[in-house]
Amino acid sequence: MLALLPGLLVKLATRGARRLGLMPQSTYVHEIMQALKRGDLDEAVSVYRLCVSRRQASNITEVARELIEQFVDIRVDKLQSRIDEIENIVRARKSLHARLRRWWARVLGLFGRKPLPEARSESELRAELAEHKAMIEGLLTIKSCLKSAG
Amino acid sequence: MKKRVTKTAVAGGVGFLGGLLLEQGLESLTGLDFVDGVFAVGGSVLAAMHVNRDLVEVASENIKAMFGKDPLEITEDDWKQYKAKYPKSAVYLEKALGV
Repeated sequence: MLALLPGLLVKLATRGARRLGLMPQSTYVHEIMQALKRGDLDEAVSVYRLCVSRRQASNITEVARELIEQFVDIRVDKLQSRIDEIENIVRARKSLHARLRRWWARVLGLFGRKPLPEARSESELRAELAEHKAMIEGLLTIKSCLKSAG
Repeated sequence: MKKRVTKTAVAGGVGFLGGLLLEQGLESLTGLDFVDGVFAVGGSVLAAMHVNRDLVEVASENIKAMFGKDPLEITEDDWKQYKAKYPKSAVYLEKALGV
């Protein structure tokens, strides 16, 4: 039993020090990088906030913050390009050609012909659009929180 | 003689099971793996040594995602653009890679 005690104490002490933000900043930076490699933005941000909760950010921590910001920017860019894509689809559906196509499909349907395969409905696209916009807003909030935490 | 061997074997088995139960019980109660605790400090020292490599790896992945090219293939204009947006990372990369 006594042989287990040192290990237990060391583990408890390091765990406590980590939670209190007392470990060396490189430990937290390493954790941030691991989280970014996994694509876990929430974890990266929470570890960063823990890292700068008690001490001023060192140079290496500032670099880690910029890397998190890059990660956010990349995600925002991807979402923005998807939003542009959806907006183009929605705009194209309002064109005269698209309306005539839909009308023709309905006429064919009246005569028992198999209608053309339906593309995703406009409401679905609009829901996706709203979701992406909300995600961008969330990501930008995370980015501004990072700056204020540092 | 036979009786003594049987008794020893049974006592050994019971002792083994008891020890196993104690270890499992302690681990499930505390949620700790005792051997890991000893290595935790060593882990934080190792983390410090790995940070440099981690930062370069993540930055490299980011550059790849941003410009759609391998970091070795980006142009000077791309690099200037990156440096203007993320000055600290760029300076760190330049120092780490000896550019």
